[in-house]
Amino acid sequence: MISVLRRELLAFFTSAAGYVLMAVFPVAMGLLALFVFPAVLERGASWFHTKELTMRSFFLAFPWVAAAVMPAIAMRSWAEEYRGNTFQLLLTLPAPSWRLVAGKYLASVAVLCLMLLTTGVFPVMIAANGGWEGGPIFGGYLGCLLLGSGYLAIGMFASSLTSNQLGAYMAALLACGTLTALGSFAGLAGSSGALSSMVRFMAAGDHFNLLAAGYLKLETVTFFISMAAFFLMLTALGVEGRRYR
Amino acid sequence: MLNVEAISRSYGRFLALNGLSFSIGKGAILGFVGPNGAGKTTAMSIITGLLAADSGAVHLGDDEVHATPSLVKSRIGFLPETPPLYTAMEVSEYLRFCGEARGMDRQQLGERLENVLANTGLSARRNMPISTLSRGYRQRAGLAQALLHDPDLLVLDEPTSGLDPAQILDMHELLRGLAAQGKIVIFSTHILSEVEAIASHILIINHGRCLAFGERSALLGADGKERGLTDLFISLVKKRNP
Repeated sequence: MISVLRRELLAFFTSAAGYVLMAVFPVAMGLLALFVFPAVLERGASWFHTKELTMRSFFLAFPWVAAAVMPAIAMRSWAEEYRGNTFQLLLTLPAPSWRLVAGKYLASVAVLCLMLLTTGVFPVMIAANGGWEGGPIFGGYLGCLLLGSGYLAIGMFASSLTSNQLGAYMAALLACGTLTALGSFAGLAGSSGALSSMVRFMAAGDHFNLLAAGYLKLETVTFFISMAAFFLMLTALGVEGRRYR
Repeated sequence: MLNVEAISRSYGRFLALNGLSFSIGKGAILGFVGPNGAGKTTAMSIITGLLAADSGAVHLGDDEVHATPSLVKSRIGFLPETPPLYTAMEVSEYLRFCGEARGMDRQQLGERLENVLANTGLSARRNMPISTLSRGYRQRAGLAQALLHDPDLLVLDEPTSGLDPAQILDMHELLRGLAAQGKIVIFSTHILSEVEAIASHILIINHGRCLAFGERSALLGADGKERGLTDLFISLVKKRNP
Protein backbone atom coordinates (compact mmCIF):
# COMPACT_ATOMS: atom_id res chain seq x y z
CA MET A 1 0.00 0.00 0.00
CA ILE A 2 2.81 2.40 0.91
CA SER A 3 4.65 1.64 -2.32
CA VAL A 4 1.51 2.33 -4.35
CA LEU A 5 0.97 5.57 -2.39
CA ARG A 6 4.56 6.66 -3.09
CA ARG A 7 4.31 5.82 -6.78
CA GLU A 8 1.08 7.80 -7.10
CA LEU A 9 2.62 10.84 -5.44
CA LEU A 10 5.69 10.52 -7.63
CA ALA A 11 3.50 10.30 -10.74
CA PHE A 12 1.55 13.39 -9.65
CA PHE A 13 4.60 15.49 -8.90
CA THR A 14 6.58 14.43 -11.96
CA SER A 15 3.83 15.73 -14.23
CA ALA A 16 3.46 19.38 -15.15
CA ALA A 17 -0.26 19.07 -14.46
CA GLY A 18 0.44 18.41 -10.78
CA TYR A 19 2.42 21.62 -10.36
CA VAL A 20 -0.05 23.64 -12.42
CA LEU A 21 -2.87 22.43 -10.18
CA MET A 22 -0.87 23.29 -7.06
CA ALA A 23 -0.19 26.80 -8.37
CA VAL A 24 -3.61 27.51 -9.81
CA PHE A 25 -5.65 26.22 -6.87
CA PRO A 26 -4.77 28.89 -4.25
CA VAL A 27 -4.96 31.66 -6.87
CA ALA A 28 -8.35 30.50 -8.08
CA MET A 29 -9.62 30.08 -4.52
CA GLY A 30 -8.34 33.56 -3.67
CA LEU A 31 -10.04 35.17 -6.65
CA LEU A 32 -13.29 33.35 -5.99
CA ALA A 33 -13.22 34.16 -2.27
CA LEU A 34 -12.21 37.81 -2.67
CA PHE A 35 -14.23 38.86 -5.70
CA VAL A 36 -16.68 36.34 -7.14
CA PHE A 37 -18.55 34.91 -4.14
CA PRO A 38 -18.78 38.21 -2.18
CA ALA A 39 -20.12 39.83 -5.36
CA VAL A 40 -22.81 37.16 -5.61
CA LEU A 41 -23.66 37.33 -1.91
CA GLU A 42 -23.40 41.08 -1.40
CA ARG A 43 -24.67 42.23 -4.81
CA GLY A 44 -21.53 43.49 -6.52
CA ALA A 45 -19.20 44.12 -3.61
CA SER A 46 -15.79 42.50 -3.28
CA TRP A 47 -14.53 40.94 -0.05
CA PHE A 48 -12.71 44.21 0.74
CA HIS A 49 -16.02 46.11 0.77
CA THR A 50 -17.87 43.66 3.01
CA LYS A 51 -15.83 44.76 6.05
CA GLU A 52 -16.02 41.15 7.17
CA LEU A 53 -12.71 39.66 8.39
CA THR A 54 -13.81 36.05 7.89
CA MET A 55 -13.22 33.17 5.49
CA ARG A 56 -16.93 32.77 4.82
CA SER A 57 -16.66 33.40 1.08
CA PHE A 58 -13.64 31.07 0.83
CA PHE A 59 -15.59 28.23 2.38
CA LEU A 60 -18.66 29.02 0.29
CA ALA A 61 -16.54 28.68 -2.84
CA PHE A 62 -14.76 25.49 -1.81
CA PRO A 63 -17.50 22.87 -2.47
CA TRP A 64 -17.91 24.13 -6.05
CA VAL A 65 -14.19 24.20 -6.65
CA ALA A 66 -13.84 20.75 -5.07
CA ALA A 67 -16.59 19.38 -7.33
CA ALA A 68 -14.49 20.44 -10.33
CA VAL A 69 -10.97 19.79 -9.02
CA MET A 70 -11.23 16.53 -7.04
CA PRO A 71 -12.46 14.53 -10.08
CA ALA A 72 -9.48 15.94 -12.00
CA ILE A 73 -7.06 14.62 -9.36
CA ALA A 74 -8.75 11.22 -9.23
CA MET A 75 -9.55 10.69 -12.92
CA ARG A 76 -6.21 9.15 -13.86
CA SER A 77 -5.97 6.82 -10.85
CA TRP A 78 -7.38 3.70 -12.54
CA ALA A 79 -8.17 4.86 -16.08
CA GLU A 80 -4.47 5.38 -16.74
CA GLU A 81 -3.62 1.93 -15.39
CA TYR A 82 -6.18 0.35 -17.72
CA ARG A 83 -4.95 2.31 -20.73
CA GLY A 84 -1.26 1.82 -20.06
CA ASN A 85 -1.56 -1.92 -19.43
CA THR A 86 -0.02 -1.50 -15.95
CA PHE A 87 -3.27 -2.74 -14.41
CA GLN A 88 -2.00 -6.26 -15.19
CA LEU A 89 1.03 -5.55 -13.04
CA LEU A 90 -1.14 -4.40 -10.14
CA LEU A 91 -3.37 -7.47 -10.38
CA THR A 92 -0.38 -9.81 -10.22
CA LEU A 93 0.90 -8.20 -7.02
CA PRO A 94 0.37 -10.33 -3.91
CA ALA A 95 -1.96 -7.74 -2.40
CA PRO A 96 -5.75 -7.65 -2.22
CA SER A 97 -7.52 -5.03 -4.33
CA TRP A 98 -8.56 -2.96 -1.32
CA ARG A 99 -4.92 -2.28 -0.46
CA LEU A 100 -4.23 -1.03 -3.96
CA VAL A 101 -7.32 1.18 -3.74
CA ALA A 102 -6.26 2.44 -0.30
CA GLY A 103 -2.76 3.27 -1.55
CA LYS A 104 -4.06 5.28 -4.47
CA TYR A 105 -6.72 6.98 -2.36
CA LEU A 106 -4.36 8.02 0.42
CA ALA A 107 -2.03 9.51 -2.20
CA SER A 108 -4.87 11.63 -3.58
CA VAL A 109 -5.86 12.70 -0.04
CA ALA A 110 -2.23 13.71 0.55
CA VAL A 111 -2.43 15.88 -2.58
CA LEU A 112 -5.63 17.44 -1.23
CA CYS A 113 -3.89 18.21 2.08
CA LEU A 114 -1.03 19.90 0.23
CA MET A 115 -3.50 21.92 -1.82
CA LEU A 116 -5.25 23.07 1.36
CA LEU A 117 -1.87 23.98 2.86
CA THR A 118 -1.23 26.31 -0.08
CA THR A 119 -4.28 28.32 1.03
CA GLY A 120 -2.81 28.77 4.52
CA VAL A 121 -1.96 32.36 3.67
CA PHE A 122 -5.64 33.33 3.93
CA PRO A 123 -6.21 32.50 7.63
CA VAL A 124 -2.78 33.98 8.41
CA MET A 125 -3.78 37.25 6.72
CA ILE A 126 -7.07 37.29 8.59
CA ALA A 127 -5.41 36.54 11.93
CA ALA A 128 -2.81 39.27 11.29
CA ASN A 129 -5.65 41.75 10.89
CA GLY A 130 -7.35 40.64 14.06
CA GLY A 131 -10.18 38.63 12.52
CA TRP A 132 -9.26 35.18 13.82
CA GLU A 133 -12.24 32.95 14.57
CA GLY A 134 -10.93 29.52 15.49
CA GLY A 135 -14.20 27.55 15.28
CA PRO A 136 -15.30 28.42 11.76
CA ILE A 137 -11.76 28.30 10.37
CA PHE A 138 -10.89 24.91 11.89
CA GLY A 139 -14.38 23.62 11.09
CA GLY A 140 -14.10 24.95 7.55
CA TYR A 141 -10.75 23.32 6.90
CA LEU A 142 -11.98 20.06 8.41
CA GLY A 143 -14.97 20.34 6.09
CA CYS A 144 -12.63 20.95 3.13
CA LEU A 145 -10.70 17.80 4.02
CA LEU A 146 -13.82 15.67 4.53
CA LEU A 147 -15.74 16.95 1.51
CA GLY A 148 -12.63 16.80 -0.69
CA SER A 149 -11.91 13.24 0.47
CA GLY A 150 -15.48 12.21 -0.28
CA TYR A 151 -15.31 13.71 -3.76
CA LEU A 152 -11.93 12.05 -4.36
CA ALA A 153 -13.54 8.69 -3.56
CA ILE A 154 -16.30 9.43 -6.08
CA GLY A 155 -13.67 10.42 -8.66
CA MET A 156 -11.72 7.24 -7.99
CA PHE A 157 -14.82 5.11 -8.41
CA ALA A 158 -15.61 6.82 -11.73
CA SER A 159 -12.01 6.23 -12.84
CA SER A 160 -12.29 2.53 -11.97
CA LEU A 161 -15.15 2.16 -14.43
CA THR A 162 -13.39 3.22 -17.61
CA SER A 163 -10.07 3.65 -19.37
CA ASN A 164 -11.24 7.04 -20.63
CA GLN A 165 -9.98 9.75 -18.26
CA LEU A 166 -12.24 12.43 -19.69
CA GLY A 167 -15.26 10.16 -19.33
CA ALA A 168 -14.30 9.45 -15.71
CA TYR A 169 -13.87 13.17 -15.06
CA MET A 170 -17.25 14.10 -16.54
CA ALA A 171 -19.09 11.37 -14.61
CA ALA A 172 -17.47 12.40 -11.31
CA LEU A 173 -18.00 16.11 -12.04
CA LEU A 174 -21.70 15.44 -12.58
CA ALA A 175 -21.98 13.41 -9.36
CA CYS A 176 -20.01 15.88 -7.20
CA GLY A 177 -21.72 18.90 -8.75
CA THR A 178 -25.10 17.34 -8.02
CA LEU A 179 -24.19 16.61 -4.39
CA THR A 180 -22.96 20.20 -3.98
CA ALA A 181 -26.04 21.75 -5.54
CA LEU A 182 -28.56 19.40 -3.96
CA GLY A 183 -29.15 21.63 -0.96
CA SER A 184 -30.16 24.53 -3.22
CA PHE A 185 -32.87 22.39 -4.80
CA ALA A 186 -34.09 20.71 -1.61
CA GLY A 187 -37.10 23.02 -1.62
CA LEU A 188 -38.33 21.45 -4.88
CA ALA A 189 -38.64 18.11 -3.10
CA GLY A 190 -41.04 19.64 -0.59
CA SER A 191 -40.53 20.43 3.06
CA SER A 192 -41.43 17.00 4.41
CA GLY A 193 -41.59 13.40 3.33
CA ALA A 194 -39.07 10.73 2.43
CA LEU A 195 -37.87 12.42 -0.77
CA SER A 196 -37.22 15.71 0.98
CA SER A 197 -35.37 13.96 3.82
CA MET A 198 -33.31 12.03 1.34
CA VAL A 199 -32.38 15.13 -0.65
CA ARG A 200 -31.41 17.02 2.51
CA PHE A 201 -29.39 14.06 3.76
CA MET A 202 -27.49 13.79 0.48
CA ALA A 203 -26.77 17.52 0.20
CA ALA A 204 -23.00 17.46 0.73
CA GLY A 205 -22.79 21.22 0.32
CA ASP A 206 -25.17 21.75 3.25
CA HIS A 207 -23.23 19.33 5.48
CA PHE A 208 -20.09 21.23 4.57
CA ASN A 209 -21.66 24.60 5.35
CA LEU A 210 -22.47 23.41 8.87
CA LEU A 211 -18.82 22.59 9.49
CA ALA A 212 -17.71 25.87 7.94
CA ALA A 213 -20.02 27.69 10.32
CA GLY A 214 -18.18 26.05 13.21
CA TYR A 215 -20.78 23.37 14.06
CA LEU A 216 -18.91 20.12 14.49
CA LYS A 217 -21.61 17.44 14.41
CA LEU A 218 -20.99 13.72 14.49
CA GLU A 219 -23.70 13.23 11.87
CA THR A 220 -21.89 15.52 9.45
CA VAL A 221 -18.49 13.87 9.94
CA THR A 222 -20.11 10.43 9.64
CA PHE A 223 -21.81 11.48 6.41
CA PHE A 224 -18.53 12.34 4.68
CA ILE A 225 -16.64 9.33 6.04
CA SER A 226 -19.49 7.00 4.99
CA MET A 227 -19.56 8.58 1.53
CA ALA A 228 -15.83 8.01 1.07
CA ALA A 229 -15.99 4.46 2.46
CA PHE A 230 -18.96 3.58 0.24
CA PHE A 231 -17.31 4.72 -2.99
CA LEU A 232 -13.96 3.18 -2.06
CA MET A 233 -15.70 -0.12 -1.43
CA LEU A 234 -17.38 0.12 -4.84
CA THR A 235 -13.99 0.92 -6.37
CA ALA A 236 -12.37 -2.14 -4.77
CA LEU A 237 -15.27 -4.32 -5.95
CA GLY A 238 -15.02 -2.84 -9.45
CA VAL A 239 -11.26 -3.42 -9.60
CA GLU A 240 -11.62 -6.97 -8.33
CA GLY A 241 -14.54 -7.50 -10.71
CA ARG A 242 -12.27 -6.86 -13.69
CA ARG A 243 -10.81 -10.33 -13.14
CA TYR A 244 -14.24 -11.74 -13.95
CA ARG A 245 -14.97 -9.69 -17.09
CA MET B 1 4.62 -28.79 -9.63
CA LEU B 2 2.01 -26.85 -11.60
CA ASN B 3 -1.35 -28.55 -12.07
CA VAL B 4 -3.89 -26.97 -14.39
CA GLU B 5 -7.15 -28.81 -14.00
CA ALA B 6 -9.93 -28.43 -16.58
CA ILE B 7 -9.98 -24.63 -16.68
CA SER B 8 -12.68 -23.01 -18.80
CA ARG B 9 -13.43 -19.39 -19.50
CA SER B 10 -16.00 -17.60 -21.65
CA TYR B 11 -16.27 -13.96 -22.73
CA GLY B 12 -19.99 -13.55 -23.18
CA ARG B 13 -20.95 -16.30 -25.63
CA PHE B 14 -17.40 -16.85 -26.84
CA LEU B 15 -15.80 -19.88 -25.22
CA ALA B 16 -12.13 -18.91 -25.04
CA LEU B 17 -10.91 -21.85 -23.01
CA ASN B 18 -12.58 -25.22 -22.82
CA GLY B 19 -11.43 -27.60 -20.07
CA LEU B 20 -7.68 -27.13 -20.49
CA SER B 21 -5.60 -29.46 -18.30
CA PHE B 22 -1.89 -30.17 -17.99
CA SER B 23 0.79 -30.71 -15.36
CA ILE B 24 4.46 -29.85 -15.36
CA GLY B 25 7.17 -30.19 -12.76
CA LYS B 26 10.13 -28.16 -11.57
CA GLY B 27 12.77 -27.38 -14.15
CA ALA B 28 10.37 -27.70 -17.09
CA ILE B 29 10.12 -25.19 -19.92
CA LEU B 30 6.68 -25.34 -21.49
CA GLY B 31 6.28 -23.91 -25.00
CA PHE B 32 2.69 -22.83 -25.41
CA VAL B 33 1.63 -22.63 -29.06
CA GLY B 34 -1.59 -22.11 -30.95
CA PRO B 35 -3.09 -19.93 -33.66
CA ASN B 36 -4.22 -16.38 -32.86
CA GLY B 37 -7.27 -16.46 -30.59
CA ALA B 38 -6.58 -20.05 -29.52
CA GLY B 39 -6.79 -19.15 -25.82
CA LYS B 40 -3.10 -18.88 -24.90
CA THR B 41 -3.30 -15.45 -23.29
CA THR B 42 -6.52 -16.36 -21.46
CA ALA B 43 -4.91 -19.53 -20.09
CA MET B 44 -1.81 -17.63 -18.98
CA SER B 45 -3.90 -14.95 -17.34
CA ILE B 46 -5.83 -17.58 -15.37
CA ILE B 47 -2.64 -19.39 -14.33
CA THR B 48 -1.20 -16.13 -12.98
CA GLY B 49 -4.39 -15.20 -11.13
CA LEU B 50 -4.97 -12.17 -13.32
CA LEU B 51 -8.25 -13.57 -14.60
CA ALA B 52 -10.78 -15.82 -12.88
CA ALA B 53 -11.74 -19.11 -14.52
CA ASP B 54 -15.42 -20.01 -14.93
CA SER B 55 -14.52 -23.51 -13.77
CA GLY B 56 -11.48 -25.61 -13.05
CA ALA B 57 -8.50 -25.01 -10.79
CA VAL B 58 -4.82 -24.12 -10.93
CA HIS B 59 -2.48 -25.48 -8.24
CA LEU B 60 1.09 -24.37 -7.74
CA GLY B 61 2.37 -26.99 -5.35
CA ASP B 62 -0.34 -27.39 -2.74
CA ASP B 63 -1.76 -23.90 -3.18
CA GLU B 64 -4.69 -23.04 -5.43
CA VAL B 65 -4.10 -19.80 -7.33
CA HIS B 66 -7.56 -18.32 -6.85
CA ALA B 67 -8.19 -19.63 -3.33
CA THR B 68 -4.96 -18.20 -1.89
CA PRO B 69 -4.12 -15.48 -4.40
CA SER B 70 -1.70 -13.41 -2.31
CA LEU B 71 0.33 -16.46 -1.35
CA VAL B 72 0.51 -17.87 -4.87
CA LYS B 73 1.08 -14.54 -6.61
CA SER B 74 4.22 -14.01 -4.56
CA ARG B 75 5.55 -17.18 -6.25
CA ILE B 76 4.61 -16.24 -9.81
CA GLY B 77 6.33 -13.88 -12.23
CA PHE B 78 4.32 -12.73 -15.25
CA LEU B 79 5.32 -10.89 -18.37
CA PRO B 80 2.20 -10.02 -20.39
CA GLU B 81 2.33 -9.59 -24.16
CA THR B 82 2.67 -5.82 -23.68
CA PRO B 83 5.09 -5.22 -20.80
CA PRO B 84 3.33 -3.41 -17.92
CA LEU B 85 5.66 -0.43 -17.55
CA TYR B 86 5.36 2.98 -15.92
CA THR B 87 7.19 4.77 -18.70
CA ALA B 88 7.83 7.98 -16.74
CA MET B 89 9.94 6.04 -14.24
CA GLU B 90 13.59 5.13 -14.55
CA VAL B 91 14.34 1.41 -14.91
CA SER B 92 15.72 0.91 -11.40
CA GLU B 93 13.02 3.12 -9.89
CA TYR B 94 10.35 0.99 -11.60
CA LEU B 95 11.92 -2.24 -10.39
CA ARG B 96 12.21 -0.86 -6.86
CA PHE B 97 8.50 -0.06 -6.94
CA CYS B 98 7.69 -3.60 -8.14
CA GLY B 99 9.86 -5.13 -5.40
CA GLU B 100 8.44 -2.95 -2.63
CA ALA B 101 4.88 -3.61 -3.80
CA ARG B 102 5.67 -7.31 -3.55
CA GLY B 103 6.80 -6.83 0.03
CA MET B 104 10.53 -7.42 -0.53
CA ASP B 105 12.77 -5.99 2.18
CA ARG B 106 15.45 -3.43 1.36
CA GLN B 107 18.41 -5.81 1.47
CA GLN B 108 16.72 -8.55 -0.51
CA LEU B 109 15.52 -6.01 -3.05
CA GLY B 110 18.98 -4.50 -3.43
CA GLU B 111 20.54 -7.89 -4.12
CA ARG B 112 17.83 -9.08 -6.47
CA LEU B 113 17.81 -5.77 -8.33
CA GLU B 114 21.50 -6.08 -9.21
CA ASN B 115 20.96 -9.70 -10.18
CA VAL B 116 18.05 -9.11 -12.56
CA LEU B 117 19.59 -5.98 -14.06
CA ALA B 118 22.68 -8.04 -14.91
CA ASN B 119 20.68 -11.05 -16.13
CA THR B 120 18.48 -8.98 -18.42
CA GLY B 121 21.31 -6.77 -19.71
CA LEU B 122 19.84 -3.61 -18.23
CA SER B 123 22.67 -2.59 -15.90
CA ALA B 124 23.90 0.15 -18.20
CA ARG B 125 20.40 1.52 -18.62
CA ARG B 126 19.28 1.38 -15.00
CA ASN B 127 19.01 5.18 -14.69
CA MET B 128 17.28 5.77 -18.00
CA PRO B 129 13.58 6.66 -18.13
CA ILE B 130 11.66 3.71 -19.55
CA SER B 131 10.04 6.03 -22.11
CA THR B 132 13.45 6.46 -23.78
CA LEU B 133 14.13 2.71 -24.13
CA SER B 134 13.79 0.77 -27.38
CA ARG B 135 11.12 -1.93 -27.65
CA GLY B 136 13.65 -4.65 -26.95
CA TYR B 137 14.85 -2.99 -23.77
CA ARG B 138 11.30 -2.34 -22.64
CA GLN B 139 10.69 -6.06 -23.06
CA ARG B 140 13.75 -6.69 -20.87
CA ALA B 141 12.45 -4.28 -18.22
CA GLY B 142 9.15 -6.19 -18.25
CA LEU B 143 11.03 -9.45 -17.87
CA ALA B 144 13.13 -7.98 -15.05
CA GLN B 145 9.98 -7.17 -13.02
CA ALA B 146 8.76 -10.74 -13.55
CA LEU B 147 12.08 -12.16 -12.29
CA LEU B 148 12.69 -9.69 -9.47
CA HIS B 149 11.03 -11.61 -6.64
CA ASP B 150 12.68 -14.88 -7.67
CA PRO B 151 9.40 -16.67 -8.52
CA ASP B 152 8.95 -20.45 -8.70
CA LEU B 153 6.77 -20.11 -11.79
CA LEU B 154 7.53 -17.75 -14.65
CA VAL B 155 4.79 -17.10 -17.21
CA LEU B 156 5.87 -15.20 -20.31
CA ASP B 157 3.48 -14.16 -23.07
CA GLU B 158 5.56 -13.85 -26.25
CA PRO B 159 8.75 -12.86 -24.42
CA THR B 160 10.92 -12.57 -27.53
CA SER B 161 8.55 -10.23 -29.33
CA GLY B 162 10.50 -7.13 -30.38
CA LEU B 163 13.92 -8.59 -29.59
CA ASP B 164 16.73 -8.78 -32.14
CA PRO B 165 18.33 -12.20 -32.93
CA ALA B 166 21.15 -11.73 -30.42
CA GLN B 167 18.70 -10.70 -27.72
CA ILE B 168 16.51 -13.73 -28.54
CA LEU B 169 19.49 -16.04 -28.01
CA ASP B 170 20.22 -14.26 -24.70
CA MET B 171 16.60 -14.77 -23.68
CA HIS B 172 16.81 -18.49 -24.51
CA GLU B 173 19.94 -18.81 -22.39
CA LEU B 174 18.25 -16.97 -19.55
CA LEU B 175 15.19 -19.25 -19.66
CA ARG B 176 17.37 -22.37 -19.76
CA GLY B 177 19.30 -21.05 -16.77
CA LEU B 178 16.10 -20.40 -14.81
CA ALA B 179 14.82 -23.90 -15.57
CA ALA B 180 18.18 -25.31 -14.45
CA GLN B 181 17.58 -23.58 -11.10
CA GLY B 182 14.37 -25.62 -10.75
CA LYS B 183 11.90 -22.97 -11.83
CA ILE B 184 8.91 -23.73 -14.02
CA VAL B 185 8.88 -21.61 -17.17
CA ILE B 186 5.84 -21.25 -19.44
CA PHE B 187 6.15 -19.15 -22.56
CA SER B 188 3.92 -18.58 -25.55
CA THR B 189 5.19 -17.82 -29.01
CA HIS B 190 4.30 -18.00 -32.68
CA ILE B 191 7.88 -18.94 -33.53
CA LEU B 192 7.80 -22.72 -33.55
CA SER B 193 11.56 -23.09 -34.00
CA GLU B 194 11.94 -21.25 -30.71
CA VAL B 195 9.83 -23.88 -28.96
CA GLU B 196 11.85 -26.65 -30.59
CA ALA B 197 15.04 -24.96 -29.45
CA ILE B 198 14.35 -24.51 -25.75
CA ALA B 199 11.10 -26.15 -24.59
CA SER B 200 11.21 -29.39 -22.64
CA HIS B 201 7.42 -29.70 -22.95
CA ILE B 202 5.01 -28.55 -25.65
CA LEU B 203 1.33 -27.65 -25.42
CA ILE B 204 -0.64 -26.98 -28.59
CA ILE B 205 -4.10 -25.46 -28.21
CA ASN B 206 -6.80 -24.30 -30.58
CA HIS B 207 -10.32 -23.03 -29.88
CA GLY B 208 -9.51 -23.25 -26.16
CA ARG B 209 -8.88 -27.01 -26.28
CA CYS B 210 -5.66 -28.91 -25.81
CA LEU B 211 -4.67 -30.59 -29.09
CA ALA B 212 -1.40 -32.03 -27.87
CA PHE B 213 0.66 -31.95 -24.71
CA GLY B 214 3.75 -33.78 -23.65
CA GLU B 215 7.51 -33.84 -23.55
CA ARG B 216 9.10 -32.45 -26.68
CA SER B 217 10.89 -35.69 -27.49
CA ALA B 218 7.71 -37.74 -27.07
CA LEU B 219 5.53 -35.38 -29.12
CA LEU B 220 7.87 -34.82 -32.01
CA GLY B 221 8.67 -38.48 -32.32
CA ALA B 222 5.19 -39.73 -31.59
CA ASP B 223 4.48 -41.29 -34.99
CA GLY B 224 7.63 -43.34 -34.94
CA LYS B 225 9.84 -41.02 -36.98
CA GLU B 226 11.28 -37.64 -36.13
CA ARG B 227 9.18 -34.76 -37.40
CA GLY B 228 9.22 -31.03 -36.93
CA LEU B 229 6.88 -29.07 -34.70
CA THR B 230 5.62 -27.14 -37.72
CA ASP B 231 4.34 -30.36 -39.34
CA LEU B 232 2.72 -31.48 -36.10
CA PHE B 233 1.17 -28.09 -35.50
CA ILE B 234 -0.23 -27.80 -39.03
CA SER B 235 -1.60 -31.33 -39.00
CA LEU B 236 -3.33 -30.91 -35.64
CA VAL B 237 -4.75 -27.45 -36.31
CA LYS B 238 -5.96 -28.39 -39.81
CA LYS B 239 -7.52 -31.63 -38.55
CA ARG B 240 -9.61 -29.69 -36.04
CA ASN B 241 -10.13 -26.72 -38.32
CA PRO B 242 -10.42 -28.06 -41.90
